[in-house]
Amino acid sequence: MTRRLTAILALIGYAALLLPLLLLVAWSFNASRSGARWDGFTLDWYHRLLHRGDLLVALRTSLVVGVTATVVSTGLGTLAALALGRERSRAMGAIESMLVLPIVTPEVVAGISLLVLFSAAGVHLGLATVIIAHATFCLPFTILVVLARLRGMDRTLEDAALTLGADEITAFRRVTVPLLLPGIVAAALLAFTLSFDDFIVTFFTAGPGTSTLPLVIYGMVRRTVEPTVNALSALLVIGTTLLLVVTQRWTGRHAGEA
Amino acid sequence: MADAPALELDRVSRRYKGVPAVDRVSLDVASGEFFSLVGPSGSGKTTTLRMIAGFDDPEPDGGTIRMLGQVVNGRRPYQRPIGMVFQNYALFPHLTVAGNIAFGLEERRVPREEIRRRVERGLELVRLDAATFFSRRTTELSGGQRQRVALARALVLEPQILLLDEPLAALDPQLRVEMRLELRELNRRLGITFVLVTHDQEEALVMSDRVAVMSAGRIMQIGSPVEIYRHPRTAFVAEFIGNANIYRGRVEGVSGGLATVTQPDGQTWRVPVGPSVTAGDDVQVAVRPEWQELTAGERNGPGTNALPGHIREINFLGESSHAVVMLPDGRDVRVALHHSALSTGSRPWQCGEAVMVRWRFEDAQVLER
Amino acid sequence: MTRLRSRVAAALHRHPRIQATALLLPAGVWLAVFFAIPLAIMATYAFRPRHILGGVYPGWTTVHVARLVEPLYLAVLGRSVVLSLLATALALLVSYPIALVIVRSTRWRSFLLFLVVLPFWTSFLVRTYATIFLIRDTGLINQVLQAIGVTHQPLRMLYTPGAVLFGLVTGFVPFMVLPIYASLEKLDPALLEAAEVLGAPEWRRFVRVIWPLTLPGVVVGSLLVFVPSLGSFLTSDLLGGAKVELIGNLVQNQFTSARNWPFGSALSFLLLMVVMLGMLAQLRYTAAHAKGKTA
Repeated sequence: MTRRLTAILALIGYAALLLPLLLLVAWSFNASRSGARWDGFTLDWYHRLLHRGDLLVALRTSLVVGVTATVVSTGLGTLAALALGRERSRAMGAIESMLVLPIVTPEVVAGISLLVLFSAAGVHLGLATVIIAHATFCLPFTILVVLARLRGMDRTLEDAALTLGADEITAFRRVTVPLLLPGIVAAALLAFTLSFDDFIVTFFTAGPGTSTLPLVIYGMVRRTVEPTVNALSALLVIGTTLLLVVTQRWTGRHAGEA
Repeated sequence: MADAPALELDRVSRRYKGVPAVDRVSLDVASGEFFSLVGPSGSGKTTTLRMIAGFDDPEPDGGTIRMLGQVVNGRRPYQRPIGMVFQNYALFPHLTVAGNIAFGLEERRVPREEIRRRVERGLELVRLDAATFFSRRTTELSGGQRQRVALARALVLEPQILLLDEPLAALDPQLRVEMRLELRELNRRLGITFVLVTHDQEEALVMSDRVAVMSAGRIMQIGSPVEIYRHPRTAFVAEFIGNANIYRGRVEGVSGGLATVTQPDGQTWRVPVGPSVTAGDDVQVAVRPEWQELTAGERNGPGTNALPGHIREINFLGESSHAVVMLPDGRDVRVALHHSALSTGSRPWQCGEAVMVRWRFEDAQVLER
Repeated sequence: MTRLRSRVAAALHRHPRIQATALLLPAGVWLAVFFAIPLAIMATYAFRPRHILGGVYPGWTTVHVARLVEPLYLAVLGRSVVLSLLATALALLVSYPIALVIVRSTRWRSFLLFLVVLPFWTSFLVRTYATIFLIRDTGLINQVLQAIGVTHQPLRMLYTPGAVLFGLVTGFVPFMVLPIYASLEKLDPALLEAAEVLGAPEWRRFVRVIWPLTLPGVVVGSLLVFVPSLGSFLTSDLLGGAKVELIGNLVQNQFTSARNWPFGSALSFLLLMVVMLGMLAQLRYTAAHAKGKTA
């Protein structure tokens, strides 16, 4: 009996999670403006997207911010994870907790505190402030991901390299880095996704001239009832799905290496 | 000077959280020798090996380690003439078998062609078919194969001293027996000094030229397997290496180098002692099960001790059986019963039977306190 | 040249503290400047007089902090906490079964996991919009219902507390499924077999073995739902409109239309405190629970 209950609840959960998205993607191809009718398959709404200059600019901004924030946060995060992963002590545990604290901070608070910082420092809001904000909230995540990979690694491998004539730096380069790479890539991927999708923090740190894709979508969702929003959203869903599938395949190949 | 010892440890000590993990350990290993460090977990043998390898250092005033005559304290592993085989093999998962074996050669900038030759020779040395295993991923290997690759990886660099940290612990018993002999052969053939750490005393006895028994960070005894087995110096060594029965008592008197010892329960026995032993001294001896025999109640023969008891149980061990005999004071001792040919009648003993446990005076080993 | 590098390497090894500090410094400094200091400044802003155009004047006042205890704002806080707790509970009700189903299946496991991870990686904004698309007055559900004649007037679903709740739950369910799944996966099946041999039926096995051992995962998952729910304002903004005002909306308001930065800072800090308290309470609970249950 409990089995059936579990299955039903799970089914409800899955439906609530996925049906909206599925329907959204499906209806983005609906030629009709009205939802109830199906007027035929069309890519019209997608074409209209291409003509929206503001979307393309916002997309470019999102990409620039995403890539930069990813590079910064993954770099800083990997360095920190290397220190945290090497030695386990009370002090390190405390430092780790502190570095990871931003994760539990509500995004509203994070966004506002940065707004306050920039205002107090007299810095104009723009691309740079958004990048800084994104790198900041991505950093704890990159630390955690790289640290997890580091902790799952066999520590004696570096020792073995030392007995084969490699000094510490060479052992790091030839053994630790190749094995750490999947973790670093995963961290970068996570950072990019978090940055690309972010709304709240960006909202407070973007200023009038800068617009990222989520900000534009927000505007569209609030105002228009046009199906182009569907197309844009569907694109993002499809894009995410593809990215995810590719990532799964890639990590699946390297799953054996620990 | 003739060959300096390959390895010398001179009163080497190391503390761990305030407690001595290794306490003034001194030993020499001759060039080409197969030397084993044996002891239970926590005895300090692995810590000692790690200091020899160079991962950890002795305390600032905690002794010196010399290799080929040179002090190596403070030198990192890659600055020492060593190779090492790890307990979990530590094969690089992102490299193939060949990649693993070639690792050290690449560090030395050996030309590519020669690397290939030496890797193939390395595989042959450990009896892995070069064609099959060259490009294998390490994750596809069995335990025994991984161990061989780990060996080859170290040997291909022709180190002066090869360190082995419990290399056989993770293998099946059958494979373990095979590998013991192979390691021994490699040591003889290549002339490389082997220093092996293990908790398996049988392993140490089979493979080594000399054995050092460690306990609680100290060396209890160093000697050849035969010496250690036949003449253990302490109760710990007697019981850790093989089986031993320990008898204790007080010396009543010594005459002609032979002491008469009385146990707390009143039983007496005799044992040859050195000049420093006098009446009133407490003494301990170790007598191995196979140096004792059971007789059915006949009184003492000349030159032997005899204690009464009855058989509690008989454990069948394959090559022999051990009779567990309970003595009057409640203690158990083990006596070996040998099975000769299948058909001969050596007298079959029964549980519960009253017996006498006998051994010759000189077969008891006097132990240090 | 190589000898020099070996010397550097050995030296670094000998001084692990210096090595660790050098590695931690960049991230540490970054977070100090862009996380810790902003929070500190924000805390001081709560005590500054308000500047009409946003920002603050120099000087000190407690007038904004005092407003925090006014019933109006306490009500908003209360509502937000209640809603977040409700969302967490509902999320658990659905996430745990999903995690169980995934862990019990062998053939479909990666696919089922994928289905949970997909929303996790999809933009929150897009997912919220997908809900709007379904439930607004001119949304899919209403259009279909009217088309087949079940209703003649649109059903009011959007801009209700229920919509916000639904948005919160579906938004954060993936965050809860993953930690619970991780906990379940690590569970040694031998424990369940032992329990079965000792006579416990399925329901009891769950209560006495599975639940206690997966509690850490449940706690992590709950935190991952409760904290963002409490601080969310997208969901209540888009799905609740002006009708459902949560603390997140209130805060955002102070920095946009209301232009009351000090009050906004005070509110923000209050939110942070509540979140921290909630976390501490949950962590204390697991620690105590774990101590009690260690065999």
